[in-house]
Amino acid sequence: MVARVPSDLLSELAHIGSAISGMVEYGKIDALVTDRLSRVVESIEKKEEEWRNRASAMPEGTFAAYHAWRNLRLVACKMQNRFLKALGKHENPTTAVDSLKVFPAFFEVCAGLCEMEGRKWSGEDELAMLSRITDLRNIAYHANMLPSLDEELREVSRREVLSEFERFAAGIRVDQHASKSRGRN
Amino acid sequence: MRVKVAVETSVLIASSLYIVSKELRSTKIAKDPHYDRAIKLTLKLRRSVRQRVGVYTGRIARQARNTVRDAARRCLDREGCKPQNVSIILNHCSDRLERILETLVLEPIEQSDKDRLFTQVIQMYTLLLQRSSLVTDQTIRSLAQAKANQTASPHFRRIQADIQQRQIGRDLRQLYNLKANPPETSDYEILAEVVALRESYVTEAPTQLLLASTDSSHFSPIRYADGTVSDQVTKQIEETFHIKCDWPDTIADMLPEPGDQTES
Repeated sequence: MVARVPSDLLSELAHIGSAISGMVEYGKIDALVTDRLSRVVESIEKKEEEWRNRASAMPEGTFAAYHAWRNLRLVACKMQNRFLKALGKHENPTTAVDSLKVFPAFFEVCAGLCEMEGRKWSGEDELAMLSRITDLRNIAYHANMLPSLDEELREVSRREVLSEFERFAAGIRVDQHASKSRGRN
Repeated sequence: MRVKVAVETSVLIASSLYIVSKELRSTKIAKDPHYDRAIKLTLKLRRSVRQRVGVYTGRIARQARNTVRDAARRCLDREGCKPQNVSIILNHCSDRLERILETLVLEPIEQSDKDRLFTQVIQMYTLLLQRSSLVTDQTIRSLAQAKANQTASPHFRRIQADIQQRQIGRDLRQLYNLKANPPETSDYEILAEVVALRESYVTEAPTQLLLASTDSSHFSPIRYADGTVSDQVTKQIEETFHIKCDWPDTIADMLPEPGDQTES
C-alpha cells in the first residue's frame, strides 16, 4: 500500500505560490521560500521512491505516477537551486518570475497525482498525466527550470541509459517497419 | 509560388531520436542513414522558421507523441528495465520532439473538410489496392515473358525474361508493398488533413505543398541506389490531390536556402 500524499504538500505549495506572487509584485526575493521548497522536495522524493519501488511490478499507471513525481522533484530542485543562487547574488526577481510561470503547471501535476491516490489508473488517466508532464516540461524549459540531460544522467549510469535508449530507438524502427514498411531500397 | 512542407510523424520521430543519440553519444544511431535523412530537413526547416515553411497537423503531433510514449511502455515490459532510465529517455525524446514542433506551424483543420477528404482518400487507396492485387508473382512472370518474347531472339528469351522479371518487380515495388502493408486509418487521416491544408493554402496564394515522409508504402516513392524509383502510389497522390510526397532529404534539397524564399 502506497502512503498517502502528505496532507500539507498541497497547502505548502499554495503558500509557495502566493509567496512567489508577492516576490514578483515587490521585486524582492523572500529567503523563506527555499526552506518551504526544501520541505516540498523532501515530500516529493518520498513519493518518488515509493512509486519507483512499485514500478518493478508495473501495474497500469505505475510508471506514469513515478515519472510524474520524478519530474516534479526535478523541477522543484531546479527552482530551489535557482532561489538559493538568486539570494547569494541578490538577483532581482527573475527567478520569481520564472517560478511563477511554471507554478500553475507544477501544481496541476501535483494535484492530479493527489487526486489519483488510492485509485486505479486507467489508460486514459495515464495518458492525461503524461500530457500534463509534457506541458510542465515545456513551460519549465522556457523558464530555465529544467535540468539538462547531463544533470539528469548524474543520478544514473550513462552506459545503462545509452543501452536502453538504443533498444528504445530500435523498438520504434521495428514497430514502424512491421506496420508500415518505412524503408528506402 | 509559395512552398510549404508538411512534416509527417516518421520524420519528427527520427529527428528527435537523432538529436538525443548525439547528446548521449550513441554511435549506433548516428551512423544510421535513416536518421540522417530526417535531420537534414528538420535543420533546414529550423533555419527557415521565419518563412513558416514547415507545418504539421494535430493528428501528426498526437501520433508522434504517442509513438514516443508507446516505445517507453514497451521498454518497461522488458525484464530488468529500470524505470528511472526510461523516465530520462522519455523526458528527453519528448523534449526534443517538442522543440522540433516549435519550429513548425501547427495548422488548424476544419473537421468537415477533413471528413469530406477522408472519404476521397479512402477511395483513392481502395483503387490503388485493387490495382496492387493484380501485382502477383505470376502476373509479373507473364508480363516479363511477353516482353522477352517481343524483344529477344528465341535463344536469349529465358535470360531476357529473368531480367525483365526483376525489372518489373522493382518498378512495381511500391504497389507490391502497399498490398503487403495496407494503409491504416491514421495514414488516411494524415493525408486527408494534408489535402485539407493544401485546399486552404491555395485559397490564399498559389502554393506547392510537399509531404515529407519516410513511409515508402503509402506516401514517398521507393528510391533505388541507381536513381530509379517505384512511385505508383506517390504519383496517384500527386495526380489526385496535388500533394508531392517525398523523402525528407530529397525535400530538403528542393527547398531554397533560408532567406531566398519570399512569402506571398
